[in-house]
Amino acid sequence: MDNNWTRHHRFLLRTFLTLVASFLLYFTFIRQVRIKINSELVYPAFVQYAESNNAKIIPTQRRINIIPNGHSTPRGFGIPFGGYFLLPFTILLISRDLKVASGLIGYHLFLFIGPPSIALLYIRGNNLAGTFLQINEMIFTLIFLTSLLYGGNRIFNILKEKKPH
Amino acid sequence: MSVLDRIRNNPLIGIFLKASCFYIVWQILYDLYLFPDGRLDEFLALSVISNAKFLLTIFGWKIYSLDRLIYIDGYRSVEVLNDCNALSLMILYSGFIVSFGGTIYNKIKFLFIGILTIYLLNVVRIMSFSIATVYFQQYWNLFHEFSPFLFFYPMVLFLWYRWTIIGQDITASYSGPSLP
Repeated sequence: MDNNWTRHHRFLLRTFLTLVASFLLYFTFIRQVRIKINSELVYPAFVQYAESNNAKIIPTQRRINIIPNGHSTPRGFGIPFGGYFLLPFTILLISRDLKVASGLIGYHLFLFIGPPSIALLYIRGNNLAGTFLQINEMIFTLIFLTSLLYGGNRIFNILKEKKPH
Repeated sequence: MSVLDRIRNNPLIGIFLKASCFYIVWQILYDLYLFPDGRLDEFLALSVISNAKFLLTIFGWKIYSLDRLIYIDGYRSVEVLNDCNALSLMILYSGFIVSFGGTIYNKIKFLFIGILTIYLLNVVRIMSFSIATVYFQQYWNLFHEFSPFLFFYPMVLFLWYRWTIIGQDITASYSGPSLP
């Protein structure tokens, strides 16, 4: 009984501390790095390309929003490996599902290439590219939320197993 | 086992593929007809503003609205753009419900409850944005950025969780997709 109680509470404490550490890591380091990557690399490159195609780029800290010539609403993409990666990734690590966690890494690596390439087409006025940028945003949020649901469910089951009788 | 078989036997990938097809169809429909027409976005934005204004007036706030702007007397205004009318979240929510099995009746019930809940939460969110201009204007952008985590995501996750239980119970007998 004592053993179960210790294991249960140790797991709870570890979950809490990992989430706090991940939260601190995001605000002290990852957020700043993403802002730097966007402001010093991605944004200048896209502005240059947009200017040569008469499109507009709306500056935001961790996103590229594009308004092509003749359009009124912006569409774009975010810099990957942000909070929408770190939170589900942490939860998947706590739930010990490395396979899904590595799938999440793979998806965010794809986000470095896929959406920026589509965005270049959108700047050139390809409407279908704009549609795909929006679809990507929805799939992005779907992956974020389902990872939370899946990881949270696994953590809940682990806690149930370790629950003191 | 071939890659195709592995994909076919993985319930999570099945849900993602079905949901992705749902989003592709929706987005094409939206971009071709609904966005140029503009009435759906307009209705969602203006009705959310009108309801938020009504509720804030009941709570004693002196509040005004002008087209898509809502503002408390003497403070900065809040604009409800197309991205803020929660339509994309309603579609995101629906994609999962439609993709996860369950009976048609239960799907319609969950779609109705979920979309209505998201709409009402958006009214509360816009109300809170207006109140935020009074009490913590300097943190307004941060509040706006994290607002989905406060208002939408917990409720969407709860409803999806309920749906995985209900949908799984019903489809278990004929081996529909289930959350592992």
